[in-house]
Amino acid sequence: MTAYDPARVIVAGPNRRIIFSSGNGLATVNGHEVRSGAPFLENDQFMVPARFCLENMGYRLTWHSSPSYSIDLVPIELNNVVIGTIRERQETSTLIIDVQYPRLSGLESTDIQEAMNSYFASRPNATLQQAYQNEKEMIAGGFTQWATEAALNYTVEYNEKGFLSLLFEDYLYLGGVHGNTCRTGYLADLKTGKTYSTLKDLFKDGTDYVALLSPEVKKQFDGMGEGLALSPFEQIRPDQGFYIKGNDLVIYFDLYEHTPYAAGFPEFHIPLSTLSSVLVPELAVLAE
Amino acid sequence: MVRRLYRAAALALAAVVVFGLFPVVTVAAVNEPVSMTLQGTPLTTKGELIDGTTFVPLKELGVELGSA
Repeated sequence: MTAYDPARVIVAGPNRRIIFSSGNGLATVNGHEVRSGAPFLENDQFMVPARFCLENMGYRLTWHSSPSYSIDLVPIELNNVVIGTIRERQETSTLIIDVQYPRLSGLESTDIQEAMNSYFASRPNATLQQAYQNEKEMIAGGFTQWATEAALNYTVEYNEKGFLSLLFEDYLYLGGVHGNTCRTGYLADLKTGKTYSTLKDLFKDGTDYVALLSPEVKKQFDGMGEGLALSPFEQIRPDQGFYIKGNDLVIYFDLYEHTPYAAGFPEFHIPLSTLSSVLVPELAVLAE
Repeated sequence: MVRRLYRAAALALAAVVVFGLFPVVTVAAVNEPVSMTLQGTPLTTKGELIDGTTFVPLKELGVELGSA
């Protein structure tokens, strides 16, 4: 399962190869560079971040803090698909581009695979056009001391039972104090190629999912502590962002939506098992 | 003698100024053991909770999971 090298640690499993680089807190999973937490050496053992490493190797982790700290591991059967990564980088004094997006291989249907890969390859275009346009305007205005920056990346959040859920994060710096990140959740049926792009797509016709989900989101949001809210939260938007993680539907707020920038993307986990009666039939398997 | 006292006082004052302006802050990492189970069965490998992240000994856990 593991191999050692003075500068890196390699963990290999079915369709997976994780390489931890020393010291910088980054790792690559099948060539996909992501933030992992920095491993360290202790008593001749490499200590690696448990969740990052084990989830990528096909285990689900459940954390317990009582009566003492413990983790329960459950092996999961990952989809028979290889998730590779295409990376495009470009750096000049006025423009920094770093784009990573997935490329699937091994799906039974090459048509479905091509359609999905085509979407993944084209979705950075709009953000990159914004970056190129901004660079032009910055140069024309003489503001060449700041580089326009676009960093697009993704994480694999769910890869079981024939479904794939990804979370795309597009960071764009156009000048000013800091850039901005936009998230896009993604859920697709790998057998049919159907994508579920909005929350509405998850539920049977006629389901008032806003009214159904909002009280639990509000309960969790209110539990995050006083003073965090920029604006009072009453209910989710009909097109609120989401993705699937483990046994949960994860709903998130965008930056500044209800909280300050520093709060990041507040997330709210709702067990899919509590939604099984209202999910569209083809998604019922996620709640099992 | 008086000169030595002045020198000691000056050094003490300098130390107060320097460390007052640039205090040395030591934050102790919270390092708690984390037990592990595989589908409810206890594993001998232990993790460590450090600043909110659990780390596990890669080789030891790999061997134990591989033989589980």
